[in-house]
Amino acid sequence: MPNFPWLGRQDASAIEDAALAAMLSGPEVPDDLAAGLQPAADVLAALRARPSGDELASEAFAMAEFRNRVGVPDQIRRTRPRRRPSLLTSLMSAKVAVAAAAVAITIGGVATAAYAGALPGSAQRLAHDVIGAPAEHSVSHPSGTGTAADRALIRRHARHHHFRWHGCWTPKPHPRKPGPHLSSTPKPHPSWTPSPHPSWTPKPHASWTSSPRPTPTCTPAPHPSRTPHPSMTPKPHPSVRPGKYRHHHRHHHNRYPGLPGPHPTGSPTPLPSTSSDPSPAGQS
Amino acid sequence: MIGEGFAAVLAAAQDGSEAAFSQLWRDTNPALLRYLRVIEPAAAEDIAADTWVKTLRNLSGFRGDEQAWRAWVFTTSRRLVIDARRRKTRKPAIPLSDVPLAALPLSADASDEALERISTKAAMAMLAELPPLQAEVILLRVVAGLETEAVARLVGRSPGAVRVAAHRGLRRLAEIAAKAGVTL
Repeated sequence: MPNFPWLGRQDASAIEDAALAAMLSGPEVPDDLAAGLQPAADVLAALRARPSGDELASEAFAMAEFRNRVGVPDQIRRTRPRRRPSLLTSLMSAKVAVAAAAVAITIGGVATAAYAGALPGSAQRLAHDVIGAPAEHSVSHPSGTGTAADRALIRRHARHHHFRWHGCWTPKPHPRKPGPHLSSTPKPHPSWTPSPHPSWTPKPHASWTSSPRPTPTCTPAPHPSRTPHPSMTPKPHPSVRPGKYRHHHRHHHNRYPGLPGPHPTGSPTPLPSTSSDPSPAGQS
Repeated sequence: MIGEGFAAVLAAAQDGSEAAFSQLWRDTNPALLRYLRVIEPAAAEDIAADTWVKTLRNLSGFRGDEQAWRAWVFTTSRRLVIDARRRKTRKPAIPLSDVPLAALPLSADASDEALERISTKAAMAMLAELPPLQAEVILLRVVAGLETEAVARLVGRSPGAVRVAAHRGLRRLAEIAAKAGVTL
C-alpha cells in the first residue's frame, strides 16, 4: 500500500483555521487562541499601531499635489460651488448638437441645389435673390419641357432684365405663331440700340428695301455717354443678324482702325495679303 | 479605517475639499508606508509619493466603497513596486547605507520617534523574514484591511491560495517571534 507523506502536514497543528482567520480579520484577539499563536497576535497588533510622525511627514507634499491637480482651498470652495452638469443637461446638449448638425446639412444641401439650379421655380428665384444663385431661366431644363408656370416666370424675368437695361419693354411676338415677322421683310431687333461712334457710319446700300423704317416702340433710356446720333439710322440687312454681327464687326473696327468698315451686303472685304503667313516656305 | 462616513469624505475630496482629502490621506498613507517598507524598503517613500500622484490623477473618476478605495491605492502602489524593481535591475542605485552618517538629516526628536516606533519596526522586521507572498498577504489583510478576495485579485492568486499563504505565514511568524523572544 502506497504511503502519502504529504497527507500529514508538517506544519499542521491543533490550531483551528478559524482562529487564524479571526487574527487576520480584526484587532480583537480570540479568547480561545492557542498559546503558540500569542507572539503572532502581538506582531499583528504592533502592525496595527497608530500612525507615527514620520508616516505623516509627507502630508504637505500630498496636499500640494492635491491642490495642483484637484482641489481648491476650502475658503474659495465655499464661495464657488462646483457645478456638475446633470444628465438632462448632457442629453439636451447632445440633442441640440444633433439638431444643429441636421440644420447645417439641410442648408448646405439647399444651397448646393440652388447653385446647381435644381430647385423649383419659385425657390430658385428666391435663392437667386437671396444668395446670388443662378437665375431660374439660365438653368431651365435643357429640353424645354418646363411647366407653363416656369416658362411664364422665365419670360417675366427676361422682361425684368430688359426693362432694367433698356428702360422699356417691347413685347416680342411669340415665335410659334406665324406672323409678318416671319416673312422676308427684315425688322429691326427690338433690343438693339445703336451706340454712336464717330468712326463708324453705316453706308446705305442700294439693295436695301426702301420700306419705311418701323417706328421704334422702344425709346432708349437717356444716358450721357450714349447719345444717339440723328444721322445714324440702322437699316438691317436680311442676311445679317444685326444683333450679333454688327456688334462683332463694330468691335473689330474699333480695335483695328485700319481695317475696312462693315460691308453693307454682309460679305466681308478681303484683307490685304500680309507677310505673316504661318505656312513655311517650301511647303505647298 | 474611516467607516460609515467614507462615502461623504470621498465625495468631498473629489469635489476639491482639502480637509476631506487630508482625512483620506491620513487614514491610508501610514498603512501604505508600512506595506512598502516591508516589500520594498529601499524605495518606500518614493513609491508612496508616486502612488499618491497617480491616485490624484484619477481621483475624480473613482467610484466605490472604502474596501475598493484601499484596494485601488494598494494596487497602484504594487504596480509601482514592480516597475521600481525592473528599473533597479537595469540601473543599480547606491544604497543609502553607503552615505556617511554626517550627511544624513537629523531631527531633534529622532530618538524619541525611534523609541515610539520600535515595536512597529520590530514587527515589520520579523514580517520581512517570511516568504514574500506570505508577508505580502498578511500585510494586505492586516495593515491594508483588505478582504481575502480583494487580496487574491491584487496578487493574482486564488482566494484559497491567499488563505493558505496567510495561515502559514501566521504560524511561521509565531515561531519567529517566539524564537526571538522580543517583547513588542
